Amino acid sequence: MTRREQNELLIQTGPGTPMGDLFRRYWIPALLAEELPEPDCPPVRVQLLSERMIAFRDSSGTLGLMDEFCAHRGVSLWFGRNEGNGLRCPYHGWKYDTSGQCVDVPSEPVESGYCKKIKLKSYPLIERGGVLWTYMGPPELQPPLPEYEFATVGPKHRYMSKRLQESNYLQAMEGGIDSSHVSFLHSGALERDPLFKGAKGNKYNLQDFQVKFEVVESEGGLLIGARRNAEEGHYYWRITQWVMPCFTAIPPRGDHSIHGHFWIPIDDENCWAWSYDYHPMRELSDHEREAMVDGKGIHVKTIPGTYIPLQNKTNDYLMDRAAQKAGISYSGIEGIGIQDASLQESMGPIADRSKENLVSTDNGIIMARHRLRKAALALAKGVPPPGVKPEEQRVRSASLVLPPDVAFKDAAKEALIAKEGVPVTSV
Amino acid sequence: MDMHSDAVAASQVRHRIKLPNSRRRAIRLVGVGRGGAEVARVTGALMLQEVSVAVADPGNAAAMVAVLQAFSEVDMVVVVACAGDELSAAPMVRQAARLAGVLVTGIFIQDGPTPSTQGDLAILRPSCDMLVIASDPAYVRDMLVELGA
Repeated sequence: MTRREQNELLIQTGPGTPMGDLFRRYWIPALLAEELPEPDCPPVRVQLLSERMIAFRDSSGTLGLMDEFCAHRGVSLWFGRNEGNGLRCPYHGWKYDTSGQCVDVPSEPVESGYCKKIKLKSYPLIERGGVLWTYMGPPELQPPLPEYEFATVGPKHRYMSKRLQESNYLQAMEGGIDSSHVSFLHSGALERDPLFKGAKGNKYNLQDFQVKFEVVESEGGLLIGARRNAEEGHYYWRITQWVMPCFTAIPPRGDHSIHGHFWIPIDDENCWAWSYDYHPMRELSDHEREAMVDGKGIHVKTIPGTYIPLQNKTNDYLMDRAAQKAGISYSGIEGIGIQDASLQESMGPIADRSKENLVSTDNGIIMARHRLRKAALALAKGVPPPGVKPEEQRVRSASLVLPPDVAFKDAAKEALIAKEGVPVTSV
Repeated sequence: MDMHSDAVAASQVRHRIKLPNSRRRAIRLVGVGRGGAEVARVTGALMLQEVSVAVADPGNAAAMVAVLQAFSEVDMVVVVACAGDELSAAPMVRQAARLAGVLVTGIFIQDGPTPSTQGDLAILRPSCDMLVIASDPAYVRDMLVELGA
């Protein structure tokens, strides 16, 4: 079990906390690009790592992310007027540019220069791969731009979504690296979901339930290998990538697109579950894109105009006991993403890890906690965090058949690196 | 749709019963090879609850038998070895654990690439139900704590 103080170190990401300091050393997804579609569009409230901010795109298209509240009386700038290259508070007209600099205080004489003394805390906001990313750490330590492969392919090759999850990021992310639950909670999806079915590798999943796991550290995080028996004494390997602090890549199936997640803390009791799908070699088909919009694969349907799942705890996730009993879905909840969310939210906003009884197949989770804890404590001593280098982010998951006596990390070495023009290794 | 007015409250855990939901699980940590034995010794000195430590030495038949027989009294066996270690005891540990009906978790400590890994894994993989390749011996302690030590 994780002791209380260890748990708190892992789950608290607000300003001044060790894990918060760690998260602040990475570029993290803040918004979908579609949320700020054009110059002078409505501003958007953003809460990340327990900090409330406002994002806007000014008249010239420049992106800004800054303290949500006006420096004058603390009004939320969500009510502001986005006009003339700045966001103006509607209360008394104070105006801020995208750097948070106050550029107008109408009640004060211009010549007084008063507005120059007012500046809201701001963070960089950049667009890359359909995502608006921010970096909330010390400016002098800003890392290279994110290089995850989904963010580098063309817009027709990828699909992004996000959903609110009412739990701490860690219990959500731990689901993303816990391959052992797939055979239970998500059983059925391999045969029914249009984004999974038809792959040759599925038969290994369905034939061998005695899956064995291996966990190997990588430079930027972890490789979690799940092996099942294949033909002629070989093993079918599914290799998940976890890149610190919270990126996962799920092993692919056949020629289906690759997918995975980011788990981004909103505060200590809520997170954004980001879900991506992409295919490096071809555009996604209309059929695939429609399925993703429709909540298939790892995506979910949301309440229109929000990123709140349509199935959520206020409606018991539309639990269907008849489907559960009939074996149509193992849990009675429809959809992989909501199957995960329903159970992870049921643990409570912050899972009580002192009541856990982990077993050996939970070693992926145990190792992720170990590495996060270690990196957070090392950062406090000045050691740079893992997972910020471009080569640590240019990774792929893979599924492949290997001889029995090889180390999957070595045998699949090339398959685990994202290279432009090189197909994904997938069975 | 099956909607309950108390759906939100039902999904919270504020009033979870504050009593233990499990008994202590006994863990046997077995060091295999010279490096593994050292990691086991250092971990044993931490006096973690419910963790007993042993060294598997195939050259000492009596001691080896005692190590293996003790598996019937534990819930989990953890084998630790380091890159370059002599691993011939690992299959014996596995066999004894299987007879005792306990799973074996292997931790292979490898700090950086070493050429002998391939052969090491060929021995270790079939000797474990779960294999972890870690760079830091401190992982052994962390894992034992997470498993309830």
